Amino acid sequence: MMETDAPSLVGGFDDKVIDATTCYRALLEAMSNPATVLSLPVSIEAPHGLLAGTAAVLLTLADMDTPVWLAPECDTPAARAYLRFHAGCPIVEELERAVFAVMSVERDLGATREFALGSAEYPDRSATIILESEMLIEDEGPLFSGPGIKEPRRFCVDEQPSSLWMHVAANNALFPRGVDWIFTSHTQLAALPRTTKIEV
Amino acid sequence: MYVAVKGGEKAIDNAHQYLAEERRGNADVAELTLEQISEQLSHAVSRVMAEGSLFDSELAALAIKQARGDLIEAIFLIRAYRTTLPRFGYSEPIDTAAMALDRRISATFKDLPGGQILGPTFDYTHRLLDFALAAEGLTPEPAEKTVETLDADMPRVLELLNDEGLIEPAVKEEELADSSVGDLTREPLEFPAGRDLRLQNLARGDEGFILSLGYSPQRGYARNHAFVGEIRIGEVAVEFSPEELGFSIEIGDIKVSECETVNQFQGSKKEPAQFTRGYGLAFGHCERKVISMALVDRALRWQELGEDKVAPVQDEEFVLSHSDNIQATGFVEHIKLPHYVDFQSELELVRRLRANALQEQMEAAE
Amino acid sequence: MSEKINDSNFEPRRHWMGVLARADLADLERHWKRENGGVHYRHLRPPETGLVMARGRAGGNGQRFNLGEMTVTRCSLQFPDGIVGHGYVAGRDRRHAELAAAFDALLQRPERQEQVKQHVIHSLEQKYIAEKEDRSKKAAATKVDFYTMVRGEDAS
Repeated sequence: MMETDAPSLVGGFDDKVIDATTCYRALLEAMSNPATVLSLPVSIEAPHGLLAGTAAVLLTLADMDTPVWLAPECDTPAARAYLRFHAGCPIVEELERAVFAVMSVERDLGATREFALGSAEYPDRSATIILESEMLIEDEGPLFSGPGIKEPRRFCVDEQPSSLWMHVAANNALFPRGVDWIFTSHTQLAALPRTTKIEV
Repeated sequence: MYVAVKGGEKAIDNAHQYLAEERRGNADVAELTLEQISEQLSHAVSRVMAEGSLFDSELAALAIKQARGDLIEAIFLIRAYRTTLPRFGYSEPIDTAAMALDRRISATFKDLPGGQILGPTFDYTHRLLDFALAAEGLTPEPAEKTVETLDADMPRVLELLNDEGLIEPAVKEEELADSSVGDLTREPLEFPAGRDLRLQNLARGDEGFILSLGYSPQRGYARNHAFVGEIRIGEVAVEFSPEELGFSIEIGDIKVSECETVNQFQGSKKEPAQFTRGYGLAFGHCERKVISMALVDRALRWQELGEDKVAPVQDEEFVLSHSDNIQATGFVEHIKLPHYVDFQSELELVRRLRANALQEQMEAAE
Repeated sequence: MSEKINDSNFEPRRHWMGVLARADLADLERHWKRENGGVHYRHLRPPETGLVMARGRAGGNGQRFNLGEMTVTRCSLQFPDGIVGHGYVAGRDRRHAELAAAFDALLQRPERQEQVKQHVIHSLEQKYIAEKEDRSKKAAATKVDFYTMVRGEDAS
């Protein structure tokens, strides 16, 4: 066990406090300016299975109180050991327990309905879905509007996600319940909070 | 409404400097070391650890020194400090049956397996001031020791009653509808709270408040005659399971006090006559606190046992909302801070009311 | 996907980590000076202090509850051959956590394990046990011995 997990423990933030704070600032900016693509503000070594953007987001936000669910394409022993060591977060199998869920943007998002969507009293008790992509693209794709967006703007990913935008639209209908979306690539970050309306 | 007040910076700086000098006191007198505090004022340290809800005797000693012995101020410092540290996780539940005992007594059974161990207790002292202590350099005789250590097997006293079915069994976790463990340092307290949250709240609650509340059922408010089934004081191992290891390891030992009470119970519509139990557990050596806690815990279980709610000690919202001395002192003491604008508006209101009343009187007189 | 290791594998490690967590810093320094064999390690996680929420059970064996937090310092490091050592120790002593991690790594080297167990772990454990026993004997001296008086006629 100790030999095999060793390599994946390397990496993480160079400076835990400064890097996590910097990433947190970037996430705040991404959330308050939805559908805007930001460069990842830190360099981070990610384990096999996770993109650097995802590793940075999880090391910033995840801890022992936030169970993480990994889709099969991200679920490697290296990723598990890395998250447990650097974030101290439990990795869970049950979708409904996850506070963060990580998956490829190409995955069929039908299962997102099974994640915690919050309640009318506590809409914050819901999952945040982290979607991994090769590249995040501004000014193309569907049009987004809502709080934090002065003029409606476009945003999409490099891949052709089959059902993503449909699920984002369906999520809009649940407001104030629903999930929030964070998009990551190797070097980028973007977010669509549940308040952001999609026009398909 | 709170309105920011500007100014006073110089005066505040000077007040802090004055405070530092007063804390130190006469510089001709040797300064207290943290070791002196933790070794010689260990009950004060225990209280700060229990109510500060942080087991670290060195930090507690520092807080006591900085607070000039004001224990609630020291607890405040500890509570503030803990917010600066990351939480690694939750321990496995400590096993108090495996405690390395300093003390273990029962008021209900004289011949219990393992015996009654008095330990370093104030009980049976005459409460006469010892003027020999006022003289310097008094080193007590070393404590007596036996050749043999204590029995390895020290069964829980209440389990003896349990064997006969005379006492309610401890509620096992599997029997609970919700097996999650509430944490009031993470989520705000909501009512009704489960026993988990009640015990957490009481374990860090103010000793004086819990003591007085625990006293009240003894005096007849929700009367419930209680005996101390067992008190245990000593060290227990803490086991923690780091995510990256996947198994639990012992990270050290902590000193705790534990009390379990046996309470008379006449039976109710729900339960046959039997003994019931109350539970107290806290950091450090704090026997008074854990006895009181067990009494309050038992009183708060009225609903579960089908009793009537007739007294303040049974009122969960009242007890849990007022037990925390940092919350309490924060709100009580804040009224001394500048409220000039609030008070100005109250002044004007009272003046207006008086003027109106005067006018009405004059009109009535005409 | 289960990564649980079976008990027999981690029991020895569990034991030495528990002993290291309770050791005196001065003892650890002394042993490390003698046993380290010039090994250089790098930190995967430099020593950091945080909190563990200690839990109890109602009635000692019933429902779990959160008793209060304790300070804990941890450290993770890696030897050049890839072996990773973890240290978790109660309190705020960074060097203690570091040395606990270093010994944890050293003890995972099959060729060193038996020797380090004997020279270090055993001696640390003996000291710990002796201190516990000393306390226990003081407590035992305060044991109340109840006895019943012999009554009746045939006291011959």
